[in-house]
Amino acid sequence: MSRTSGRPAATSGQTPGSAETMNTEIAEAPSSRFVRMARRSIRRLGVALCVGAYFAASPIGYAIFALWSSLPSRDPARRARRLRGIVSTAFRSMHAFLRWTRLVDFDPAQHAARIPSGPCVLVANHPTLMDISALLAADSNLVYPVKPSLFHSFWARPLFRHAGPFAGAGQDPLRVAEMVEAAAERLAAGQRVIIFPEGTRSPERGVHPFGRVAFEIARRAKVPIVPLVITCRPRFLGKASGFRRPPAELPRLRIRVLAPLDPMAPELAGSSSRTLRDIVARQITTELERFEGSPAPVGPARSTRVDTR
Amino acid sequence: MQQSLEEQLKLLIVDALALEDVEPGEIDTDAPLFVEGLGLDSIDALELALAIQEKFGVATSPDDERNREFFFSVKTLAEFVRAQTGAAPGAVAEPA
Repeated sequence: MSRTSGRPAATSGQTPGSAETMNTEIAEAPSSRFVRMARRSIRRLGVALCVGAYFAASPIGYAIFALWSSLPSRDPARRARRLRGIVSTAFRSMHAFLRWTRLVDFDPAQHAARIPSGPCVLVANHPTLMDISALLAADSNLVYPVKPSLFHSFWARPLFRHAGPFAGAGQDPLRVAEMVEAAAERLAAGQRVIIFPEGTRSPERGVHPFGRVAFEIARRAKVPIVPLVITCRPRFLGKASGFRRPPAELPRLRIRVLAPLDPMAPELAGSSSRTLRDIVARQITTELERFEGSPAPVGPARSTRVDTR
Repeated sequence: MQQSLEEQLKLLIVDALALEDVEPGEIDTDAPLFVEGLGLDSIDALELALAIQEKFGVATSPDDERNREFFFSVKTLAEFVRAQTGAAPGAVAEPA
């Protein structure tokens, strides 16, 4: 994986790391800084225009979606598929526009073929705000848990209620039973469920400790777990890089699909959600280490228990 | 010697959740059970609720807004079980 450093490449005939190259780079530093500042300013303007266009167009899109969602339907499953198709198309268009304007490089079509068909629980790290739009752009049969307060809110309910997403557990430790049941229903209907087990956006490097809900859902529904590794370099719309601070270089958003884990496989039969969680967390952090070139830190463990079930 | 309800709950937590590196006596009665303190998560909550229902005949409702309070600590859990079973404070709840 190559990384864009924002520094000018060595000129022809020069060996990278040589004295000539270093002198050239030092001599170019002021103009290089100016170029980076100019790029960042242009990118900031581009982001502002995109956000403005989004807010201008979203009321129309919302009205159409809410109306379609609220109309009576003799085939709720078909309506849900159509609504998810609308969402997927909208996000594909959005990412095509972002790619065309050189704001964010992500091609849903490239990633769509890598996501397995058939019901499964997708589990991913969560580096940016664009993760869910990217995944929904790549897969129109994907559903996800929504923060309960948002799911049940008057204005947002039409967006979720009939399209497939379901209420998350929120702060009530026992509401997770409803969430697990809702997810299992969607999986039984052939949909795929995406869950970010960190519960929030990832830190700048590494991941937060993973929760177990996604793995418990897969275990109970008897479907594969598909680990995804999402990377965005340079980071944009992460915890420390908001809309107003786009990087100077083009952010490249990529989704790597790792080998699925089947809870029903003989070697994993009877494994607890804790065991499945630990296996997948290791896979994702190992892949992140490979990408970042150094050990990926994991946040402080929630407990020191060892799962032996 | 009969165990107090708090001691029974601590033993239940260790057994039901298979906490092999935690002794019941090490669990602080007033400390949080979730995230902090013992560091349990929502799946543990599900399993613990089921274990409490099986042992004491006390059922919880996922729609009850007070669940976070009931399950905050061993102390609050004991108060909840006593309230549901009608046992006096300090009395040992009869297993179901």
